[in-house]
Amino acid sequence: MNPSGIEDVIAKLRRSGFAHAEANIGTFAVRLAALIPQVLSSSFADQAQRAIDLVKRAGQAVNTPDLIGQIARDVDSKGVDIELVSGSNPVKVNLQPDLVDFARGKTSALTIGKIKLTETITFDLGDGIHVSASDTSVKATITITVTGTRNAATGEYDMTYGGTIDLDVNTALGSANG
Amino acid sequence: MQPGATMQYTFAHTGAYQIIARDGTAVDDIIVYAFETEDRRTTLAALLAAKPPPNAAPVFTRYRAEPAPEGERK
Repeated sequence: MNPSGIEDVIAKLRRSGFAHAEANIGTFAVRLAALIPQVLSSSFADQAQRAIDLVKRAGQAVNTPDLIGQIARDVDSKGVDIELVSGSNPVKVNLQPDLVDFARGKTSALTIGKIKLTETITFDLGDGIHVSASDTSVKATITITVTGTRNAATGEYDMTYGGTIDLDVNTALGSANG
Repeated sequence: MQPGATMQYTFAHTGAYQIIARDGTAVDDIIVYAFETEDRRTTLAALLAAKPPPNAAPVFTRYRAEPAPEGERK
């Protein structure tokens, strides 16, 4: 399989993952504001929008490092684990190539059936989400998981998404994590 | 501690090999997949561009007691 083809697929998955996270942060902010309006400051929506804008900018700036030189560590039946470093956020990628069929001569070309990509974004106080005016520090950690499964008929990768948003809030009254 | 049995195996070509070990009535085996990369390195790019094996592998009769790893069940 052509390595540059994989680079293109990974870049596409990353962009799509950021776009998905961007939409989910918006939904998360609306639901949070509806659940606990007495805690949230009036500017919460504005601050959540800043986080959405940050993810949007990060998604637009996505690039994928050249795969040439990446050592194919831990090659086994679970696939090939590699770690890409792009900016300050490392991206973990697990490739599941059909090494067994290829080595048995059942297929003439090596294909990658599944790509799992995990990326973590952490917002610091300056760019983060302020839940209430008494917050002394707020950290938001967003983990994006995108899995691309190769469609044998089309050769394209069907995507599924997952991820978490962790808020770590310290206020004058105490701290909360959730 | 006494050293265990040793063996040496030379791969004549790329592809799938079955290596069988016998000790009395006990028998076990492993399947080895040998790939050839252009620059003899194990970078991801080299692995993805590995040459296909010259021959299709036969169907092996397995001797191991425990289930084979998922990737070998094809």
